Amino acid sequence: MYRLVVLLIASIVLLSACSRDRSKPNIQYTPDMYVSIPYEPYGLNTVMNDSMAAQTPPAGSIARGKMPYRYDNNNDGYESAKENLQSPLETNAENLANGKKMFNIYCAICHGEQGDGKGKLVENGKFFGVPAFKDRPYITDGSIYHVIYYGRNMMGSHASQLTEKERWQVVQYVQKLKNK
Amino acid sequence: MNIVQKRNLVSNLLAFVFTTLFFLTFSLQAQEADPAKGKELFMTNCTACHQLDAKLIGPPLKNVAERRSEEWILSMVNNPTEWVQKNPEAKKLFEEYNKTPMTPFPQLTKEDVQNIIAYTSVGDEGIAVEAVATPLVVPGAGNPIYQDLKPQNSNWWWQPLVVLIFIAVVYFLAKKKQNFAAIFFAIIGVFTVAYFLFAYLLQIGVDTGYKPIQPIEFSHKVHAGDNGIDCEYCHSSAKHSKTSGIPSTNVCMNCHKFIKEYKGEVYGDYDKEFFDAEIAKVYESAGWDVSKFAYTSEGKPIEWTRVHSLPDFVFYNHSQHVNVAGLECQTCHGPVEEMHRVEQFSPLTMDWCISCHRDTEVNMDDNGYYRGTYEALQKAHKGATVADMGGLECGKCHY
Repeated sequence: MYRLVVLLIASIVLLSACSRDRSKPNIQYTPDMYVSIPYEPYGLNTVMNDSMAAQTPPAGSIARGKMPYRYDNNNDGYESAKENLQSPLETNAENLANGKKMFNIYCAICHGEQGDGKGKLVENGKFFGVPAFKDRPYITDGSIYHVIYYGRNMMGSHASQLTEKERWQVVQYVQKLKNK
Repeated sequence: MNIVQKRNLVSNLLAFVFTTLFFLTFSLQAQEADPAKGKELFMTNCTACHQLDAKLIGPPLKNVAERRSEEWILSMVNNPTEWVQKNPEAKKLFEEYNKTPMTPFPQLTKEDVQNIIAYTSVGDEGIAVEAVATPLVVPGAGNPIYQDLKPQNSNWWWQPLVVLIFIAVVYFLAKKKQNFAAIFFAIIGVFTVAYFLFAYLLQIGVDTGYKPIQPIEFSHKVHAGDNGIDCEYCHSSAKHSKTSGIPSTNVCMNCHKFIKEYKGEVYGDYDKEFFDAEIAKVYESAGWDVSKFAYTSEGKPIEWTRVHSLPDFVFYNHSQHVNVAGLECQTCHGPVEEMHRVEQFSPLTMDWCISCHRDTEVNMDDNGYYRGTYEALQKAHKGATVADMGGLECGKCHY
């Protein structure tokens, strides 16, 4: 009888393992090794005022090896970037290839893979009014970069998703699509 | 007779004049009223900055004809820069909308503008719209890369039942004094229990199928599947960083500044109002005021629940796998573009990592990493797996 009880308990344990609630994480053998003291990216950091491990850089700080973008986020800045800002990259196959890759990830969803303003979101009726690059003959390297950096009108800034080099590569590819 | 003729002439003249006038008004109306054409023009040219009912980059345009004359609108559309200088009303608007200049549309003719005005007067209700069903295209649905990686169905309810049957059999045999049979069944029973016990112990710390409820009912199927947004659009740091990156709300706002209400597939127990409220949560997080079309408050971060988590004693780097190895996200994360709420697809156990490292041939086209090692291995073995390149060394992941 004793054996029966033990085995019954064992089977109940097994049963409980089977019907685990999938919205809760599983148990761990050594939680203090699985989840160690150092902060996780995007995790909790109670030392900071807002309890976030991911912090925005202090105002005015410049990341190593980076130069701040010196045009303002307004129309004067746009016009000035359009006139004066030059691409530091030379146009070559490698830059264009990565520009194309980045364009297809970050831009084509609205602007279309051909730059005709017919991206999938436009075709699906989710987003409207995306111009074709051909209808904007006046855009320059500088103005394209400026718009990627700050966004313009309905377009948002894509500076957080692309590095400076990638932005210039996208600029090259946009020019290629525009002049095609 | 003459008098009658005269009367006829007058009435004829009058009739002629009236009919001409009538037709004139008719033709004028016909020229003006093509809101359907106007809608098409409005959608392609104006919607980037204007909506009918709400403030966007520019003012709402519903019934704009009641506020402005046709010439005013035409001048504004064709040459806004000059018109803003000339016209005090236009200048006032320009100041009101943060001095954002309107994009000139010199290609729009007077007739085009009239059509657009007609559309702004009647709105969408004034146009019979053909319902176009957009086919749902799921990219990667037929993608073979994860077909053979589908997780095992863990339907375990029968296992305790087997145990119970064993116990009953052994108990019954012992009572009947059938000692040999009882011991025989007991041994089998012990092994069976041991088997299940190990199965239980082995799944501790394995979170396959973990599907937490998130603070916002964000559907990967709607975003990555139905709308075909690339994974890396939002998880943009996967290409350069250890973590794939949880997008900050500014990335959501790149689209949701415009997309204010849910128009996608309504699934589960939810309705459209529920999803609209979920989009509103994004605005709250970003500090965005829809009616003012501006960021007005500080905003607050969204506390997402992490789904995939490796133990901290393992090093894993996304960029190495995404950029260098060129793996598809789905290879490890499964068909995320088919999941409304994301769940863990792969077990993320060491066995799982090692198996892939043993089997995966390294692709060295446009890939400079380990080229020297690779060429040496090519000579020796013809082809090299990740394991050959040192992908099984303990220190690669545990240090």
